[in-house]
Amino acid sequence: MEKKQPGATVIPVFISSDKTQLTPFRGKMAYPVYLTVGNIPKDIRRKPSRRGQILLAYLPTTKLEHIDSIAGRRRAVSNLYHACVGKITQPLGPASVNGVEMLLGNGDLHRCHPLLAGFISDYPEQLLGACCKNGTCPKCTVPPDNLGDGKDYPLRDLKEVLAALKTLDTGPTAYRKNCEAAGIKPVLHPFWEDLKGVNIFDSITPDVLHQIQQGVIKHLLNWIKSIFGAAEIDARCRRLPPNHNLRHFSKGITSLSRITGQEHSDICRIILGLIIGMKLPGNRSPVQLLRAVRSILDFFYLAQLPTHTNKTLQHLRTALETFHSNKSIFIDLGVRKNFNLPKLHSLQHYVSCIESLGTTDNYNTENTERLHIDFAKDAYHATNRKDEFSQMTLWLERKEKVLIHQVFIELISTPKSPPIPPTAPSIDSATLPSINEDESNEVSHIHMTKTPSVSSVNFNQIVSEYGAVDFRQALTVFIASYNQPTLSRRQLQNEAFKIFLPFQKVPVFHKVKLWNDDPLNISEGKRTLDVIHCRPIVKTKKGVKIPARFDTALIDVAADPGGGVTGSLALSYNAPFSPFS
Amino acid sequence: MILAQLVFQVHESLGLSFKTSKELNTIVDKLPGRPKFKKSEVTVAGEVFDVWHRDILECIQTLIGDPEFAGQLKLVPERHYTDKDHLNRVYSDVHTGKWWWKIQVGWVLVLSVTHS
Repeated sequence: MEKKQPGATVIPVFISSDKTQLTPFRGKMAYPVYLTVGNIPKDIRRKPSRRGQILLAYLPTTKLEHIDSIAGRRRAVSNLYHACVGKITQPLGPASVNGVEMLLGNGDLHRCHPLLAGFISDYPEQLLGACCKNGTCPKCTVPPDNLGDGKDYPLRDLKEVLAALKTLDTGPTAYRKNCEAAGIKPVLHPFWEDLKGVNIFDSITPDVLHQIQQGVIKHLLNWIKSIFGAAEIDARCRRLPPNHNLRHFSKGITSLSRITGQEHSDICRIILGLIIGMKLPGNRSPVQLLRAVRSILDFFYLAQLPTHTNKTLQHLRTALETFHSNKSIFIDLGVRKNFNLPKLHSLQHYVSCIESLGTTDNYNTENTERLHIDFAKDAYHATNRKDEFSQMTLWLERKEKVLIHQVFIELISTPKSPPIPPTAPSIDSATLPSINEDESNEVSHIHMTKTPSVSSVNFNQIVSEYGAVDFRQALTVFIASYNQPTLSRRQLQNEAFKIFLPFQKVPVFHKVKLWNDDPLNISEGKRTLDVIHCRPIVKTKKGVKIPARFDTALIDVAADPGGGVTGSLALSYNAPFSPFS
Repeated sequence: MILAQLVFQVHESLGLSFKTSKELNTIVDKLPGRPKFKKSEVTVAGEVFDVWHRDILECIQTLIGDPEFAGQLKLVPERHYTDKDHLNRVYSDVHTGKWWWKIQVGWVLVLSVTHS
């Protein structure tokens, strides 16, 4: 672009569409299309409150029941989709080639070239958008029987597809044949046909929510269930001790129905721990199975990193390769005949997509699902359910006006800040100051209540109820080492014997909260919180016994930072107390 | 009658500029907002369907012209590295990816490759 017309500003347009249910039972649907631009940083786009996404259209949701033949109906549905989206996106074609002058928020005028960069949707809609047949990959030419082999296939050839689309005038039979040869469905004028510079197959983005969480992980859980049996998995789930940041599935995980994405990620946290040490039928070695499960989990977590480097992308690749070299265990155990799953195949394209359009949080369908609440569901509830779209659009326009006005009022009522200097657009900024990896100074904080949970507990109770055996001895050693930190272990013991404790009771705290600052500072001040509980059996007023809870904590006692587990002390955390209060 | 008087007093004493929800809506409608929706008709298989949509270019203008985002917009592609030799590239936002760079420097090339 620079060569032809220097000074162009590229606007990467992201379009996401997803059908959604408006009413829980009557099957009323809406088909909103959202638009956002890649110029807005992803942490703004992600927040619905910042309104970085705009509702572009409501598409018709008809199922075309008046057409009798199923094949004809399907064809008409995809023709309708492309006719509608084509009508909406039509102005993008000339604008991307010639550019349009647009005013930026700081008053600068830019010649903008808006280009469709990403098409965010779930698998059925990816197929619809890219005119591909069910069971094929919308990005590459993998044969349907090789979806699970973990190999890379040549990408779909846009040139060939466009050439086939040009033969529409030669008659329906020839057109169908040509389209078939190019690997697409014979759709009349797909919406991307006239969008210059847009490769729809490239712009189809990975979808962590549907492809991994609700796809591969869901399959994996089913396989694990049929290998080990529901009873054993659920029993192990129930036996897990409660832990902070860990959901406790008291009824097990196999009986859950309609599992949400959040529940899947909660299960992911425990699933590897659940299956470690379980016996496989026929006393097989479980190594391969554990490797396969672990590699899928690795992939799941790595794919969601908000920042990737070539090195982390290599880890992502390795995780997928590890799964493919170990997946045969599922066939050997008889839970799978093949791996021809389009969602499993889609993982193949993650690395190239992250390199091309940035990390997966730029185009997660989770954001779209959240927007449905504001843009479709709330809007629908404001209508009288008759001729709803004219009312929904009016309601939305008014709501947006009020919100904009609110921002405006906030803006004029706050004192003026100095204007932000405009950043000069230049293409020479090829290299930026490199990120210093050592800069992460992780600080951990401890937080306890001001007053102890129990104001006085005598030493015998500490032993009997809290299980802190030898508490008195440990306390004297601690006092000795606190007063004289240079003593050897032997001298400490001697010194401890001399200490007389002038009290029989100590106040006890039942909870310690710890948190670490986010070392990369990506989650905007959000800190990882952890809680250590230590509480004896309590009886409620109704006589119900709440079981005791003593968490295990690993405490780093070595002075050497980054010592890892080697410098840690594992201890069951019994009775944090304060002798000096 | 008394009720009507009461209602009148409420809006008087609150100092509101509207009496009914309709009046409020007319005031709201005068405010600046995002692009208006329009209804278009699309004919497929002999039947006419309604599509409610906005002008896509106006939408893009609204998004990039929003004063709230001013100064935070990414307008040029960038390449980030963690090392001096430019071996370990960093990817995060869209402008750090390869797509934008390719389009920015080689638009003519892209056009000739994909649509010749």
